Order: sequence, then C-alpha cells, then structure tokens
Amino acid sequence: MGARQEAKDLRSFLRDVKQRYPEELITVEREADLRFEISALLVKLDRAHKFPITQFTNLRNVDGKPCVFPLLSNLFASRRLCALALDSSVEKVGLDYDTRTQQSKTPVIVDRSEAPVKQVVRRNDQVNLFEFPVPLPYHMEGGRTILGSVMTTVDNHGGNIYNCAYQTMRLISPRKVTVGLGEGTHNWERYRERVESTGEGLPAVAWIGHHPAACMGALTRVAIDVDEYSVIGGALGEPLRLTPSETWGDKFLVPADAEIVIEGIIPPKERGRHGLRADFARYYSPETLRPVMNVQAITYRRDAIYHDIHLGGRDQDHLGGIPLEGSLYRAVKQSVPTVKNVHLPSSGCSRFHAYIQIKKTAAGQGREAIVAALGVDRRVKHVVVVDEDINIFDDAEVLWAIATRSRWDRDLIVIPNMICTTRDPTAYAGSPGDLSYHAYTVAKGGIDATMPAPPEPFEIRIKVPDEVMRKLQLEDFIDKGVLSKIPPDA
Amino acid sequence: MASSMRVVCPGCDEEFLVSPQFERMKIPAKCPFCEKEFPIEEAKKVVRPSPMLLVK
Repeated sequence: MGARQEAKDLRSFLRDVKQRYPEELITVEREADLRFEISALLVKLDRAHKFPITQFTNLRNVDGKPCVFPLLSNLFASRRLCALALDSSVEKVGLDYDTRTQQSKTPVIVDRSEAPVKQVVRRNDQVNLFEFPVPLPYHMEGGRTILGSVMTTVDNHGGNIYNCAYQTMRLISPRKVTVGLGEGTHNWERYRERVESTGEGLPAVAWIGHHPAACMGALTRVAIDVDEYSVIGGALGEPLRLTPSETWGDKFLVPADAEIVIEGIIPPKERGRHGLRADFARYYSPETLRPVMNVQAITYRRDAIYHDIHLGGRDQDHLGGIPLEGSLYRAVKQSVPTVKNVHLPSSGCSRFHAYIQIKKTAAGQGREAIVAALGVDRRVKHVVVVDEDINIFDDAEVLWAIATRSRWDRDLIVIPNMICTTRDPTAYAGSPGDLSYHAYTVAKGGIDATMPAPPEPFEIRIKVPDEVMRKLQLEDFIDKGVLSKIPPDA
Repeated sequence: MASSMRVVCPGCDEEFLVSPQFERMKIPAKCPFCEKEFPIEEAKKVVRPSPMLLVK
C-alpha cells in the first residue's frame, strides 16, 4: 500500500468522474430545503432520464442552522459511473463486481494520524448528529433518516470477522438513533447472539461516504464467518485501509478513508420507534420497533461530505441491484454454463425482475435458469430468460421476446408460497403485523422467452444488414439542425 | 405491506400506515404529519389488512 493520496476513496472517485465524465457531476449552489426539495429535484432529474452525481452545498442542518457539510446524492444512479467505479462496462458491471468480490484482499491498518476520517474527533457530549444535513425525502416520512450508513459489527472471537450492511438510522436525539437491523442479516444475528448469551450491548460502527466500489462491496452476500472488510478490498481492487476506532481501539477497526464514522453501542432489549419510511419498492414501510444505538463518538474529515442515497430512484436501484446481478449470474452459470448476462431492471426496482440472457444449446435451459435464479435471493420474484440477440438493458426488447417467443401453457413457471421480502406489497403474511423474516411468502415464477434450441427451426428476425447500419450516419442524410429539433416521442 | 393498517389521525385528519404490531403491543400510533401520539382505538378511521392475504 502506498501513500495516502493513492488510496481509493469518495474524493478520488469524484476526481475520476470529473476527468472522464465531467457533465455527470453537478453542484447545486442555490439553497435547497432538506424537507422534500432534495428529493423533488432528484425525482425530476430521474423523470428526465438524467442521473448526475449531485452535490448540494447550500443547506441547513437538522437544527435549522447553516450546514458546513455538503450533501452528495445519486452516487450510484448512473450505471456508466458504477462501471467506472469497478473498472468495468455498463453491460458487465454486475458480473465484474462478482469476480472482484471473489478475490478478497486483506485490509491494511494505518495509524490514526494517517486516517483522514480522524481529522475531527468528537466524543460523548460533543456528539451532535443533528449537525449533519439529513433530509426528509417523502411526504409521509416519519423522521430524519441517515441512509448512506454502512452498519458494521465485529466478531472478535473468530479472528476479527467484520460484517457490513447498509442499514438505516433514524434520528431520535443528537446522540441516539434507531437502527433498521432486520432479521436474517448477519448484523442482526450477531446482535441476537450477543444479547442472548451475555446481555451486553453490541459495539457497532456506521461509516458514511467512501469510494462507490467500497460501498457496493458492503452488499456482498457472504457467509457469517467471512470478513467483509476483505471482500470490500476485493471490490475496491486494493486493500481497504483501516484505523482503530475511538471507542474500542484496535479491537474494532474502522475505514480510514471514509468521510464520517459513527461509533456506538446497541443495548440489549431496548427498542425505539423506527418510523414510517420509504423503501426500495417505492412504497412506505410502516412504523416498527427497532434496536437503538447510543452514539459514543463521531469522527469525520474536516470538510466531510455527507453521502445520502436517493430512495426510490436509480441510485438505490443500482446500489442493491448491481451486486445482486453478480450473484444471480454465478448461480445460473452452475445450471446453464452458456449464460451470457443478467440484468435487474429499474422497472422491478432492481430486485423483483431479473432478465437472463443465454446462448441456448439445449431444450430446457430456459426453465433451468429460472429455477436457479429464484433460489438466489428472496427479493427476486419474476425471471425472464431470453436469447443472446435480445438486449436485456432494454425493457421493450425483453417484452418483445415475451410477445413473440413464449407460450404460457408451456413456458410459464409459477411456484407458490416462496419466501419473499417483507417489502413486497403483495406478500402473504403469516399473521397481521408479524414482521419476522420467514413470515412472508409470495408466488414467484418466470417466463422462458427463448427460441427453441438448434437445430429446431424458428422464424428469422428482421434486420438491416450490419455493414449498412455501421456505415450509415443520420447526419449524412438529414441536416443536424433539423435532426436536433425532432422531439422524442412518448 | 400486506399487513400494515391505514389509520386516520384524530389531530390532523391525515392518513398514514401503522404496523398491527403496535396495536397488539398497545403502543400508541404517531402521526408523521402533526406528530400527535394517540391510542389506535382513538383513530378517526382504521382499515385493517384483509385476512385473505394471510398464508393458509
């Protein structure tokens, strides 16, 4: 590991973006209200099919005072920029993510003096989370929620195994939050184990703002005994730099190059209101009771950037969806070795719908791919398998394949009562209000929209000869001025 | 969510969602619009999820 300036972090990525795609990084200098205006602006950009990383520099914090921290959102909204973060391409970024996270890199430990996140240290009464620009995004939102926080816990008994996951934190007071720890996550399992066996609180750290490859690396699906800091290093393409925490020293290491680190204890049995909040499915989750975290210390860069996630938009879609594409590809490849690509489109919130592209060589492969994909993640609900001539990044092409290559008496699979996410509004619940992990089921399935495998004949798709399409430029036949004035159709 | 209840706040008449977990545990609802806390039986209107959605 070289000098500090060589480490990848949020700032190094923003420099890369400025150099390669300067038009996709914008700064809003006009004052924006944290109550709804941030999300209104981002929703309008989404509707215009524009997804720039957006930094807001003129804000008031939760206390209503001028805020010294800029807010950065839409870090993952552009698939092109996600690909840049992972040295990949728009088409293969999910697959390359998976390859990288399979190649873990052991973290390196640096002294506090070399850690930018230690430039400002606040402990106990000096802590005030209300100083940060935490937005209120949607009309029914029941409070301010930190969304860009990677909750991290550690198991010191098994050789310092760290687990990381995006988990929301709802502000209760300047030093207290509720944490969206959900059943079925490793952090929850660790919490339950610690509470049940010792009655002690669980040390936890939330880090905010890092290189997007590190952020996505925190979403890798690994076993509980796999150190996720090492997996994040794989995603980053270099070892993650860690430094001792303020509260637990080298027994709990934190990312040295994060923008902000929040350290606290999640006490046993205490629950707080984790109020109404928007979720990835574009609906509100009802208020629930969740564990609380008492914050002991915060550290941050002198000019820290507060990273927020744009809920219900492409930003959140890609953050969860790109890592999942890699997992699906790996699982399907075991059944159908000729799988070419996988895409989780925004039309399914990058969770519910999966498009799988295969080079079909034998009958039955479409169905094999559907069954393999449905077992990977409880959020995947509908799988469409298409041939390699179909562009899986274009919903209309996939729908065309369904229209012309599927017969639902033979090509539709429905499997009732499969475990699903609690966020599926159509889910069957075990009993009203039962929020436990295994209580929700739904019917899942898939459509085999592939042509018969060769040598079986099928209709031939129309096309203009490739060499003519390559050669012909619209501007050679239609005046540029005329061309630019033709409005796109609905 | 299949199992969330819709309630109407007696303070501001706005409608919002509450988990039936709160009703079972006798925890007051809290309106996200006016922040009024109230027992669910005092809501102006409560619409519970249909039993049709439950797993058999």
